[in-house]
Amino acid sequence: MDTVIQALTQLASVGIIVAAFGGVLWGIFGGALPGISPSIAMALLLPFTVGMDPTTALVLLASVYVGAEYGGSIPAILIRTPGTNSASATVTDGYAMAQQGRAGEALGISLISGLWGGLFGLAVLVLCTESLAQVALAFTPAAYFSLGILGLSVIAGLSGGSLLKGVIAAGIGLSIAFIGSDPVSGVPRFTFGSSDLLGGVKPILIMVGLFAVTEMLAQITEPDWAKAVKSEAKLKLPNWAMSKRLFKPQAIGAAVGTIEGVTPGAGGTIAAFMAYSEAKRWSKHPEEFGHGSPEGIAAPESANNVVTATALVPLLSLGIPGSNSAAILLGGFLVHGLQPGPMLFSKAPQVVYGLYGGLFLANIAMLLLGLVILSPCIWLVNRPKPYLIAGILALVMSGVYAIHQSFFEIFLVIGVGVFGYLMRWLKVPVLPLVLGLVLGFMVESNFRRSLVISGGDITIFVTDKVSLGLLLLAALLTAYTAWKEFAPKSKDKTP
Amino acid sequence: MSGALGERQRDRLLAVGAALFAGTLVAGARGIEDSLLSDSVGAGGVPQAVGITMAIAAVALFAKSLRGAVPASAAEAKDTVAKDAKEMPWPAVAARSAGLVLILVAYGLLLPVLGYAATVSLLVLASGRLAGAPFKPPLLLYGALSGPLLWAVFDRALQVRMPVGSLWG
Repeated sequence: MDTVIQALTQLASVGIIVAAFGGVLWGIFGGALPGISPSIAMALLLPFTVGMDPTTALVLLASVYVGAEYGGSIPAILIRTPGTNSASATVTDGYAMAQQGRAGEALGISLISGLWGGLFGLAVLVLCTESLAQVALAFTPAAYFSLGILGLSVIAGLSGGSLLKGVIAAGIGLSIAFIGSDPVSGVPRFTFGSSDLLGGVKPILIMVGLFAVTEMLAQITEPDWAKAVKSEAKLKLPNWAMSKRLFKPQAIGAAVGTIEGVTPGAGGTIAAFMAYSEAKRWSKHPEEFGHGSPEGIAAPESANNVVTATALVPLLSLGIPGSNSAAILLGGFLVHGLQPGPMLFSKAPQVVYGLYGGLFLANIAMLLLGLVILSPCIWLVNRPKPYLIAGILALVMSGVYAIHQSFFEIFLVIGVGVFGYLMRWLKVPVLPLVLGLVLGFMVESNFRRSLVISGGDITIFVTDKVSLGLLLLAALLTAYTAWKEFAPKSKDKTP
Repeated sequence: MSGALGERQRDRLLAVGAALFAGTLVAGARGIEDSLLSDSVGAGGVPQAVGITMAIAAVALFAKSLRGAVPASAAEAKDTVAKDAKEMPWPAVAARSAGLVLILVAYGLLLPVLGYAATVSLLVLASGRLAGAPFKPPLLLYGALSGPLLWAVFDRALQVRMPVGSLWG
């Protein structure tokens, strides 16, 4: 109750209100552009948040995530092209409804389902996070090390479908984290004599390079998307009868989104598809799915908006980002000298409560802006793609310089962008790299601290019960993922 | 952008690259001089462990890529070809991507010389043109306005000092 009151008091802050509405607006526009994922939309804004108040900055970034999840459904419904990956599950029934002349109704269902999902997810976030953080406060350095290993192994296994590629990506991320000064002795490591690297490589630069620059390198070679018809732009909210029908799929979406959201590596896309599948299974009209079923929109849109909040549970309580967007938010924390995790609740509780209040506002903003934003979104989606690419690149490169006024960092981000493009071509998942980068310090420092405490005795990681449990879980998950990857596939009779 | 190499070949390329990276990491870590303040693990201990893990993963990936053809690969190849038919041919993809990289590098090199507004305008013009916008008044206007507009946003509104350019003193 205390938490709720604290969060509600933050609603009186003008900065947070502006950040919530501004972030949602940016997110809706970004999400509506195919190829601009929530994480890219957040990464574009990340450099601009450097000079802001920490709470305002984090609310802004989190609100972008909320807005983008709705924004992604707009092109999914109107032009059969999901604006975000998690809107892919909305395409089938959404576009079918549009073809039946019910585009406005489909968009209304998406908006309302997203609202309920977002608010439900926020409730889960508020109820679960602090309790989990309290548990984590009792962790020893050995347990923290093992938690980092568990986080890395889960992400390496779940992201992109190949454990081996995930391990390689995580290794690269950890290697980038090693650049700079050794955390114990201060000895320079992997700086190649460059003073620019003595302070290490800031995660924000890697994220902007990997998400924004890489995406633009890819988009410049991809064909343009279809154009939306402006006359379809009249949003229609569900009436009472429709709302009753949508309750079950929205509830299914909420349940699935909660489980997938708190699981690192799962994320909105998996949640959306699973919710769609379950909603169809439990529907009274499963034959309608795929042909314009309102439930086929309600379930995935509810699920992917639940994830916008529940993906923050492992981030805020344990410091482990479970998705690309949560990783960008972690970047926002780090830029302001804050370390998410159990200590955040004692060191900067106002930031957490501000984030809760901001997320509530963001969902309200999504509803209010969603009612009026459709025409401008369609206008934006219909702009010639080269102009959008050029504009985004200008914003990205300007933002990078704005962080530290460093010319070196511009070239660093370009290099990272090229590397990210290479990773995409080689089908190497990005999230393990980001996680390795942000968890590198935690993993190494706690490993070495544990050995100092134990006098060099490595068995501390198994004699500590929590550490042992986490390591066993990591080993089991890794073994399972490895078995799935290496088990012989059954013969496919496809001609 | 599949094009030139199949998936297995790319996996092998990745495995070789990762193995080389891992080897360099281990060698580099071994070369780090420890200080008197160092603990038993040392500054190079964890990097070496990560390098070895990466090397093992790289070898395993290489071995996996050498495994016999999976029966479903024929169908996968068909799907891949059908999908690639809608994509640009890979030489064009490579050229356009390389072109954008060159534009971005040029931006970084020209920024301290020409200053922020001019360089951003050139960036917008060049990248828009590369992306396929015709070299006509709308693009020229867009480019010309982008620089001063973004300068106003950053330098005036956000109070972030952007480079003036050595050319203008």
